[in-house]
Amino acid sequence: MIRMNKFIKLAIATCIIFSHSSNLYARDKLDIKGFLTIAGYHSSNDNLGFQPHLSSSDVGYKGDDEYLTLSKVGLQLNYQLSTQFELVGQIVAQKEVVVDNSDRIKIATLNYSPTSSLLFRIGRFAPRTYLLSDSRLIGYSNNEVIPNHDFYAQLPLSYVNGADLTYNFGLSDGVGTASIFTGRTEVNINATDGNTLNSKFKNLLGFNLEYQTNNWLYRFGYTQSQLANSWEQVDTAIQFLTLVSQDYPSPLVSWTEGKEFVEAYRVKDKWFRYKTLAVQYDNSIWRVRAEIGDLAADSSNIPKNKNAYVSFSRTFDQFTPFLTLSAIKTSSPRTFSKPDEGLVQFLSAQSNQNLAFGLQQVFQFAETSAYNQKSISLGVRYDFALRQDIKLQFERKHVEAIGSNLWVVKDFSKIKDEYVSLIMFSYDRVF
Amino acid sequence: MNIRILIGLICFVFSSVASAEILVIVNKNNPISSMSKQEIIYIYTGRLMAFSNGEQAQPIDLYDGSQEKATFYKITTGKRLSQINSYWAKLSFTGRLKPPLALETQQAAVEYVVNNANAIAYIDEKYLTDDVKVVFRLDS
Repeated sequence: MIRMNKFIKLAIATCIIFSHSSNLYARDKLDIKGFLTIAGYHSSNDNLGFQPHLSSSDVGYKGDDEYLTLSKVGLQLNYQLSTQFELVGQIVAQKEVVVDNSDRIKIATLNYSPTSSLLFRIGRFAPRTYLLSDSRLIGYSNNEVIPNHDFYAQLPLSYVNGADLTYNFGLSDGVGTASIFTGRTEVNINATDGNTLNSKFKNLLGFNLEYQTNNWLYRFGYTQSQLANSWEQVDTAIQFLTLVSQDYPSPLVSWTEGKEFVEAYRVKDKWFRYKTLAVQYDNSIWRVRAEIGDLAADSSNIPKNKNAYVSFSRTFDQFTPFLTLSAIKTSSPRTFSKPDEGLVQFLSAQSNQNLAFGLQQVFQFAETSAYNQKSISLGVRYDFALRQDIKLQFERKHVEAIGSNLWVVKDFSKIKDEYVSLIMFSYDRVF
Repeated sequence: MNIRILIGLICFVFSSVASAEILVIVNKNNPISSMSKQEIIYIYTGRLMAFSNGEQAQPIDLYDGSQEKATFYKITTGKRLSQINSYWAKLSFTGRLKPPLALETQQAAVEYVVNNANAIAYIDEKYLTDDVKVVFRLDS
């Protein structure tokens, strides 16, 4: 079903109004520019709901034509206060899960450049967690309709409130860039059962090292953060897990690994660590880009994932066909012993709760919570006019039965290994 | 007769291409006397916004419809204008970098370089004046 609403109409109107301008407004001090993407996709599966990333507002099943999730229009204002100070603001209108409307402000920084090689920013900005971190919303800057799903969907961090420092330096024949950022962020994540998990991150600290020489780019990134809050579902489970994990006198059999299990199950104050390594070769005709990532977390509720992609593109005048291969794989979680059945029955009777059911849910989640899928993607970008393109992309994904956490599952009883096809298109422009 | 006209036309076309040499210019007071192609690429792609002496560089671009702009980027970076625009879209919407200031005419670019000590621009050699310094010639 095609759903045209005010957003699409606004986007089309914006596109027509600015169709002949290369920049909305550009003078010495003030620069206003914008970007627009009108995009859609169609998925082939009726049990696994596709979401481009874990904070998507909408989910696409077979028969749905989704337009609003990928479409967006953004405006950015740069105001030069002096030779060293600049104000930057960016607002993006798109259908997304937000904590409040201020989330639509993606950038609000005071930039300070004491020298040409140093940039210090304070305010709100995109975290540079991986290669495409702070440009992945801009459809026109990428060949693909959306950033690689297997790689970029699991960490939907859209902004950091904090500070960052970037230093550029010449090194041999190339240019090096070192950057460090810190701050806090908050994001709503869609769980595979459709529930929303509000996650506040504190003590966010990341650094990147990048080196570009001739046609090559190498990049390493490391980010760590602590979850500042807990999730309601986890708190509920912790209550009865704490009861079961106590030491009980004989003849009851205590759960020897219980306390360890409860500690590992908590999410509040647990650390996340994410490392990426990227290499790109770009000679203006051929571009090959590869990136690998490794997500580790101290909580058993967060899958530990390794993911990677490699993409090839070749530019023939206005056409750029591309091929991308990618995968994400969850490491096997540490296994724990289960509590004694007699103990569970005794405690259930004492507390008047169905503890066996609760424990079954907790262990089932621990055993099935994973991201295991691989994909092949083929597409073409057509730059039919300056600052405008259209793209068409076909993607085929193999999602393992235990491994569908990037999707919203309609019926868990029907879950099995699946092949899912996606057709995506977009029209992008900057103005 | 037709062949002569054809040869004449070919000669005319090639002679106009050859004469349209693009020069990279800086302010006359800039101590830099020459630049490498790689340095120019780094400045015009935002990788390093400084001259080799460490002084800040302020690159000046031409508007999108300019043939000199297309030629300049094709020869220096090997990229088409759409690729350059896509590249700058990636950088400028991060809020960290701004693309070079684009001016409407080459005369305006020369004037800007004359009035700004850190400016660098590219122009067709027919717009060259004694008020600026040539630091690189693009082989077309």
